[in-house]
Amino acid sequence: MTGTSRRGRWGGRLTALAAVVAVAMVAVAGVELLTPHSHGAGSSTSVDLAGAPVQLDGPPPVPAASATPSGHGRFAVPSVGLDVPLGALSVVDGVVEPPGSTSAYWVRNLGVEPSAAPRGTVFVAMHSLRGGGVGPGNALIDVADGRARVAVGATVTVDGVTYRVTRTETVAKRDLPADAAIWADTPDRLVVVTCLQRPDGRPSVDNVVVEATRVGGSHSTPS
Amino acid sequence: MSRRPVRPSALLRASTTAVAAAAVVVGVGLSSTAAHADPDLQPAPTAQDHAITDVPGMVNGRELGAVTGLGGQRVEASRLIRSESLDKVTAAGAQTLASKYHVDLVIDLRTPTQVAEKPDVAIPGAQEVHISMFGADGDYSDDTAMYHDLVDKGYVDATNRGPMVSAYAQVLQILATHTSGTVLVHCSHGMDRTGTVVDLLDRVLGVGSADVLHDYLLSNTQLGVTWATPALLQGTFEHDVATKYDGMDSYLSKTIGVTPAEAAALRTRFLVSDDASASAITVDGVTVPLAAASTAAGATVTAPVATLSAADVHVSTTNAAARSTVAVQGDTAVVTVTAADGTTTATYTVHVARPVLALGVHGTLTPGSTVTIGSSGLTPGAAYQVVVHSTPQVIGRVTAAPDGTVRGSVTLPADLAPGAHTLFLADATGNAVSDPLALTVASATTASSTSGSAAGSATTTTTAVGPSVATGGTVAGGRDDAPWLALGGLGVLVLGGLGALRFRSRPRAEH
Repeated sequence: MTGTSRRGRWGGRLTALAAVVAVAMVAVAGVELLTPHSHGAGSSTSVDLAGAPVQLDGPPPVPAASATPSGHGRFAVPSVGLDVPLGALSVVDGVVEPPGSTSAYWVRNLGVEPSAAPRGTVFVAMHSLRGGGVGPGNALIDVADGRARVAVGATVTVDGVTYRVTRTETVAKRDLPADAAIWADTPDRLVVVTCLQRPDGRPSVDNVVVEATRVGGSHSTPS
Repeated sequence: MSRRPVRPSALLRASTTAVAAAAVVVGVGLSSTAAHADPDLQPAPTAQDHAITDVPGMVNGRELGAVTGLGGQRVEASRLIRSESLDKVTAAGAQTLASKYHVDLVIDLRTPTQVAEKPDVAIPGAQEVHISMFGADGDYSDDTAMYHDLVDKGYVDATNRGPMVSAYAQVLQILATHTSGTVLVHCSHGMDRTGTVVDLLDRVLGVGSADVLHDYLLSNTQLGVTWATPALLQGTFEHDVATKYDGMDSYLSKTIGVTPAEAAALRTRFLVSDDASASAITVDGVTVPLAAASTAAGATVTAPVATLSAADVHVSTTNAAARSTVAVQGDTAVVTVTAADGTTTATYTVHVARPVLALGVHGTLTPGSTVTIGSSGLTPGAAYQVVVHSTPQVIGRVTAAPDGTVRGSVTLPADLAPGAHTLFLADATGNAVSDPLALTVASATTASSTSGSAAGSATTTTTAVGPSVATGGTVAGGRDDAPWLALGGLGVLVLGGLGALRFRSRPRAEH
């Protein structure tokens, strides 16, 4: 049976080729998996709250932001178990990008500093991480439902100043810079911004904004 | 008062009472029945005069003349009654003064001696104040001398003003502040002292000289005498005021000391208001700019009103006695305020616009797209539905912030048909309270080549007022390893498959 012998001959060659390709696939995958830092363009100079190395979605944080990971007391939201150091950074070229993923960052050149809370809005930003990472912002977001996990009425303390959450919302990242109501500088107000991660694990396209009012302030929540 | 030592007889009183009652209808009848008739000194009452004819024992009683005062406003006649002393008023008459005329304050201008000789019959429930204009001694042998004294008896200077000027100041102060009921002012005959007090009040109210004189001379008409004369009131009293005190205005404000606030209070109290202005107009809580609303073009306010009705428009008038009506046609309300005088009106026109809905920056809209919506001019704290048409479908809910703005993110239904749609905010019952926003929704498959658009003022400003916030990241070794795991897994599967094939083919070749 020439057919049989030919089929066997061709079949043997195909099997061999497939085996070579398959071995190559396993080998490449293994190499990639064993050298986790070699792929992607992002930086991974920091770690998350669990100690895992972090790769940021945005461009590398710029030194001009003069970011410090601590030095302004702590940022805490007891209702979601969040209590991290409060650092500071500056807006550079219209971007707020915290370099670290273990702190909350007060934005120096927006609104007022926490010690001047009665005079304006304190703006705080922090990372949330996908892929199983644990950034401080992860405590604030409900990935499955695509919204904030912090409830209206929850207490937030910023460097010893206590606020009560009045509103949370999800804003598309591209809409956020134009949202005058969010960036308004209003006495006794706190705005916390982090990224809303997505259930499918792809990079975030929305921000979660938590707005709060200082407890005991003149614009305090109605009793 | 030697010229008239004896008051008119009872007979005369009776006849003049009848005359006064009839005079309103037939004024001419006076000359034939009064003892010393003189048409110039006993003018016939007019329709503006309100003689009191239903109080037995009162002859010279009348309300203020309802004549024209300052700025064309009418004098509110019923706020003050002037009369002679109340010693002959019957109990029934006193009761009438209390219940019909609402007299709750009597100002008696007589001397203590005169009061003692002819004490007033008390008006039930009324307070009585004694302010003797002449001080202790009120007997005059000469009327002209009396009218000189009526200007400034005992006046030395501003700190020693004597009884007359002090009395005027006191009486006018009471008239400016007593607002609970009618004030009855009287002296002995209700002619001279009462006459000059009413003269001063009338001057504050802006009543003209002819009307002041007419009211003064009505005492002659009602009493059937000719004692009151222009020579006394104008030739003596007002002449002295003009020559010694630089005129009536100066006499009132500087000598007597009527303050601008007192004058204003007197005018408020004794003039029927012609103030037809609104002090505030709101449409469902939204304040209407009155200056614009009073123009022919009217004012436009933004209010979340589903269907404008008169009940949505609330009007406060500057003068509490003014009345307002609201007429609604479509989205326009016309407010008409009618002043207390019943003739002066003011009109305010308000056009009501609905809040405009705006979309945040967005790309092509397809079914399932999430868009940011925003609006302002809504009722603070109120909840609204976000509805997409044509087939109404509620796709979200928003609550207005304390400043009336709303912001929210809504997702277009996945089954929304491509094409033109409208988006609006609705109240709890589904009635649109915002302007509809036109949307063009592309089909999901052609989205890459068709750009969605929002018409009208749909796009919010794209001017950055804040930074973007890059707070996303991942952990190395996390979900990004998935492709490599998949590749390796596939390789293992292929290898496994190849192994299985070899295992199956070998025995078959041996047979």
